Amino acid sequence: MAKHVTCTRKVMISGLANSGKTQIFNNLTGDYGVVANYPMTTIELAEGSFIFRNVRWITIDTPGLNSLSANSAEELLFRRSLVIEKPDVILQCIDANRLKQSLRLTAELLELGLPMVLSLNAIDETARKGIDIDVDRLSRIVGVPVVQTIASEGVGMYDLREALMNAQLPRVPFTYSGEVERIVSDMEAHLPADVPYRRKAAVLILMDDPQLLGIEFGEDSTAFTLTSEQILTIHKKREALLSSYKGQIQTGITKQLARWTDDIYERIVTVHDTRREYDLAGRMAYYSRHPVYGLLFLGVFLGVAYLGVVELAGRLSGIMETVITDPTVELLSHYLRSPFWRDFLIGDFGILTLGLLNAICTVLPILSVFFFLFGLLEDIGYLPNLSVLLRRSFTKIGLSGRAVMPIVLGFGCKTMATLTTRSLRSRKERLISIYLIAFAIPCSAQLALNIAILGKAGVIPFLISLVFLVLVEILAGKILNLIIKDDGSTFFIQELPPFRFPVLKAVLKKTGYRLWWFLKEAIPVFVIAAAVIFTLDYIGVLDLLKQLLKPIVVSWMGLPIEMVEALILLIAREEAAAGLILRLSNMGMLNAVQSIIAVVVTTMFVPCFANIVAMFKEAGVKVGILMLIGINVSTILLAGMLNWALLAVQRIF
Amino acid sequence: MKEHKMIDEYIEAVWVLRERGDADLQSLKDYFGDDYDQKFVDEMLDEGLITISPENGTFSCTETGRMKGRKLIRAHRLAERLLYDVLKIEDYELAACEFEHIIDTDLIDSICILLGHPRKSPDGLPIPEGACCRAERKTIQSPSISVLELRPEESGRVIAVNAENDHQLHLLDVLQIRPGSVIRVHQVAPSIVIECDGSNIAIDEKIASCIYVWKLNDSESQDTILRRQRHERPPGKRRGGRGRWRRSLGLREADDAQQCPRQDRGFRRFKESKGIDED
Repeated sequence: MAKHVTCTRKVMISGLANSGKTQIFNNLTGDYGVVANYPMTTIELAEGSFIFRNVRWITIDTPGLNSLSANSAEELLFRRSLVIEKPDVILQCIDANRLKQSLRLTAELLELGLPMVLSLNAIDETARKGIDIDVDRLSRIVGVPVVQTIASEGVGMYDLREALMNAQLPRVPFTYSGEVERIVSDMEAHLPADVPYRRKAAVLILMDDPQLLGIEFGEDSTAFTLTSEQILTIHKKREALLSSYKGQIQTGITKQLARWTDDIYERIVTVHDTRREYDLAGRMAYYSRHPVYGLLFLGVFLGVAYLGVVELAGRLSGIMETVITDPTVELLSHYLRSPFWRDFLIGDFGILTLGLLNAICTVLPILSVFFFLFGLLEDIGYLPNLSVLLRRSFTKIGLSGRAVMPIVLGFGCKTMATLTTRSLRSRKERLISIYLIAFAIPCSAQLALNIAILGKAGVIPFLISLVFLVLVEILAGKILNLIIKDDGSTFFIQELPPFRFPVLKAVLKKTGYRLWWFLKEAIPVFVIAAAVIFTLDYIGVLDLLKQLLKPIVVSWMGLPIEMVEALILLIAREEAAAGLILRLSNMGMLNAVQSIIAVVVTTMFVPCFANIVAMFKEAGVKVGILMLIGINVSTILLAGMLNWALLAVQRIF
Repeated sequence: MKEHKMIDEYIEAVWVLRERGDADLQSLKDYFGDDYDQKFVDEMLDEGLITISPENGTFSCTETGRMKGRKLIRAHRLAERLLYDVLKIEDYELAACEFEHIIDTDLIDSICILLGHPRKSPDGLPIPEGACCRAERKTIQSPSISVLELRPEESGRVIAVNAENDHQLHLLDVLQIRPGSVIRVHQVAPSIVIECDGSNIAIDEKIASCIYVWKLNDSESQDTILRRQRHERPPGKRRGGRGRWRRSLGLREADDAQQCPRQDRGFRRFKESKGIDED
């Protein structure tokens, strides 16, 4: 059915971190953005659209915010996009579990003076706790439509679309009272005409915000520019207003926001059940953070992942090889007469054997199992709880607990994790985190493949590598902590998501999408990388490289010379290298010590291209290059040392 | 007596103006407007509380003057906190003015301990430290303790957040950790995990030590949270106002007592801690 579009409108989804914005976005647009039960899953804007009643709704998903003050990179990004995207409607996702926090944000969003719709999410959870929220009353008090939704099940989406169509400005605009209101409106009146969201801008200026709506003062932007005289006038006016107020205006504003929130909360919330039912999810969350049970929990997960990857995925890939790879190779070798084509397609570096088939038959089964397990963990909401457990050890290497989240996220995707470091305020912490993420942390794909490689050699090599990588991270952290200058005190405040029972369908969907993205992105890379190595080999450069690197790879690190190819592949994509190593291991060319060294080297060595780009983006090119050099040099040194140490141990026993 | 009160106002005004950085005679005149009376300035000079520079007319305080101003301001701003946080009175300004003249140093220190040594007034102005703050002194009957001292599964009502800087204060504020909120400690090691407004928040010891609470016993915490949540205010009726001020001081009608459990509980606590017998 062709839809007739008469006009286009723009809606921006906003809300607290981990309040289900992306889920709503997915439900509305039918696109898929990764959702997980923890904050910081979305760190960039995502755009999609849907058509409803002849209107095309451009939908923008944003990272989570706690307020509109410039406290974090996410908040700045949100403000900037408000100015640049100029949405017609703001859709706020309210987490019914955190009603007061959400309402406080509502107050701040109301100040933008845009039509708003509230989507009240997770009401099923509050209902179970015996907490009743009077939705109609909320709608009446705030003066905007409120829609009840259960985002994870897609409940309430039609109503939400309907509400977006009818979105209007609140009947009564949000105002302060008394002196504060006088000062805010006076400030507003003295802002230049082309400043958007004048009221909010006035409040932010009074709150001593370093930027105006995410745009630096005087910065050139498509939306508006202020001349230096205008900035001076604003500052003068601000000074004058501040001295006419008897207290601190910031306190005055936050005090009134708090009162507004409390007032509404008390009017719309009723509690029925006084008994606390046994909260299984809550108990589980508690145990996952417990110093003893928590480590046990982590151990169990690693154990399950180990078994899943080694046993299940190993079998799967064995089956796929006998069903797909072997017949294909046999068939082709039978029909291909030209030795060049035979080598090109199914030789040692053939684009089929090393590229396509390697990706599908060896790497894909391992990733399927691991992505599924990791997705489960994500949807339960486990990862942030890990930060509680790890914080103390982190302070020893110069990191406050705030840095735990980005580093833990590194086990998912190192590139994304590097981007989240921008939420750290201290430069020192940021640099240490970026380095540690790039260094010895395997991303989920790498972790899965590492487990597969080591699994062939047994449990002990797996444990040795694990301990070694942990020690290396601690050492690197300690050294960086000494080198980089301290900048101000750091502190730790981290919101933890509630444990939720994962929905199998959602996890499977996420796993499916991740695998699809892997295939889409990685297969071309696999094939091209295979072709490049084939060419290098064909023209003789590969041998030259091998001769050149032999002292390092063979003599120092004790690896077979074929690992040179893996190192080249590493630059393209880590999975490609791991795939090759897995092949070497399958062919019996790696013993236990060599497997350990191979895994350690690929984990620590130059991170993948996307991660390098992210490093440059967050740390700057100069520092980024320094980090790369540091990482690679120390990798070679440490891997060699480990090799000799392991050989020595082996000789003794 | 009245005269004595007025000179206190002038000493306070000098302190406030010095805080703002414009301590000169003209600002003082503007501060009091039509009520300005030169005689109190002369009196301050006579008593050796302030000196006025002959060139530009700026004040400076003598040691005695500073001590006196400090004490008055401290009393005033602590009184504001008491009225605003505990008794939930919106127009605390007027009442606080009365307070500052009658209470003595020991009483002020007791209020300071009770309130968890707050560092800022409800308007965000600094409260001068007393001896009790420097020693972080607590008496045995002191009801205010830091979150650090709560054990797992204990709850408390936040009474003061003495954050290191405005940034921390803001972060805690948006997470609803602010005076009046009820928090519950879930675990204390390896990090402290507290529950507030339905979300679990992990914090470090430094942050925990700057959040002061009144410990609630278990039944009390359940009860107060639920009672407060159940209680429905008649629509349209605003908070604050004189009625509230009267109610919170115990001058209330019988059925009001049922409806407003929060504010009179706070006051009862205050009275208990001061050894004032009720009923």
